[in-house]
Amino acid sequence: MELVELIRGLTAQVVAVAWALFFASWVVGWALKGMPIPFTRVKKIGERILEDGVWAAFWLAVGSSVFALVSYIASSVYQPLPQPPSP
Amino acid sequence: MDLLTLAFNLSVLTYFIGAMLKGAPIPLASLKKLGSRLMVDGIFSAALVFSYRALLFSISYFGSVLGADWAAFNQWFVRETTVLVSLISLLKLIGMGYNKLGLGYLASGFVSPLVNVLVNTLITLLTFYVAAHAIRHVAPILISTGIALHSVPFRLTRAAGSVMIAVAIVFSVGAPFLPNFISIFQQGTLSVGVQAAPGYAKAADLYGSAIAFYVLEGYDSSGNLLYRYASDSAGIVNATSQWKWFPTTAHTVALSLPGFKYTVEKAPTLAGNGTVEINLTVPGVVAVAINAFVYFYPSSVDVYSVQRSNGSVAIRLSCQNASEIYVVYQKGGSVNVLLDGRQPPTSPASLDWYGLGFEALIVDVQAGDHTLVIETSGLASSPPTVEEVGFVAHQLSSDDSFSALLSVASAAFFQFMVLPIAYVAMLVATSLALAKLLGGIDSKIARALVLAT
Repeated sequence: MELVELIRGLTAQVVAVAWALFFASWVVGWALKGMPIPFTRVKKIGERILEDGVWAAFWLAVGSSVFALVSYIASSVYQPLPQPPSP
Repeated sequence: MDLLTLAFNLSVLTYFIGAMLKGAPIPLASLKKLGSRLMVDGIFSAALVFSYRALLFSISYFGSVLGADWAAFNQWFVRETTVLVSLISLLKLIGMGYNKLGLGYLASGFVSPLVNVLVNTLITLLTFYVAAHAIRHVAPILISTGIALHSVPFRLTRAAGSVMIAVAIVFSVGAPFLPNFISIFQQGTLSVGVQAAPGYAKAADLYGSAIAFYVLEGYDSSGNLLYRYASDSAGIVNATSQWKWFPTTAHTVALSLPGFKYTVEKAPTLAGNGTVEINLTVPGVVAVAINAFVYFYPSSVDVYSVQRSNGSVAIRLSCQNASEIYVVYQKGGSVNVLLDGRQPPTSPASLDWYGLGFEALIVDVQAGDHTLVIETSGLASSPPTVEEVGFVAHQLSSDDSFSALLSVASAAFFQFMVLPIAYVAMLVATSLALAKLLGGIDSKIARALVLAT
């Protein structure tokens, strides 16, 4: 179970980092969009970063909700799995 | 099981790593693709975790749909290892015989390599049996470990996990079909070199009753014994085991009962599935019960009818001249003989036959029509102790040429080493294909999902 706790901790850290990265990309995206540089390429890059970031946030939210729901259902319906057959 | 919890958490981790990569402010398309792939992998692995029970159930489901019979598999294994072991001992005996005769070079140069090959064959068969049972026993653990390996992020151990799951399922379902696979190739491979076929013999009297517990012997034209088999209580000789069988050519068949012998020149007739049959209708005997018979000389006695009722048999017969009729039954029972309603004068006698004691009553019958009534009570019915001589075994051990031995050993090698290995290769190929389905290369659906997200 130690390994499972380790994985859970790691997952929580990854989720935190993912949200931080989302905010970072949101900031970077709007910054790029709003820069007074007359190159549309920069703006396009900014829009792409923003869009990817928002999609990522969407999938993050959906994933967290679904997995939380699944864990809740699994823990409430939990039955010990059957023992392997004995000879 | 912790393995499944571990697998679930690993797949969740994979999903979030993918989402994190997707949301990173780095405009690299390959990074985003990697992120999408990781998210799809995570969901697929989570779905596998929840399919654990379904995967376990699929083993028993496909087993029952295809008709897998583990009990028959076990029996087949015991039977074939017995055959192999007896073949090995037969060869060792022959080798010892050669050594005694001073033909030691034959024993070491010819019999020993054959024995080695057969021992290797036996080991291969045993290994397959043990492996099949081990995998079936351990299938749940294999599948859950496979699912855990499948869930590791970045597909590090995904292929290994899929192979574990696939092997567990395919071998558990497919292993008991090895006897069926081998039987496809088994059309008389053993009889190459020996003119023989498996079959049954049945013997009955002329009045509709089967004759129980007789001894069937076969002789060739020079009077040498070819085989000796004992029948069961239903009058059937089962000579289908690989060391028995019948010669396919005509030969002298002798049926013997206590105090009675009937010989006839016969060739076995073809029955279905490559088996042969010897059907004998024996004149001169009425089977009263198991181990109770009435013998007479067919040349001087004509039997019109035989009527049976509870514990008694009424025989209507007609004699052309004075003759003797023998009533024989196993010691331990009692028999009452009535000739035309009266107790006739009988001379008792006793005889031993294949380890059983029999009583005989000799009834003198005058010319004319008579009714013989035999009343029996408390009859014993034990099978005779017969030292059977199998036809194929006898041929092989007395045959001077080596071709028969070689063909038997090579048939055993082919059936129990080459064929099981070929079958295992088939199962492995199936497992690899199933593993590919479970998580090797992207399937079209997974690719579409990756592009969509």
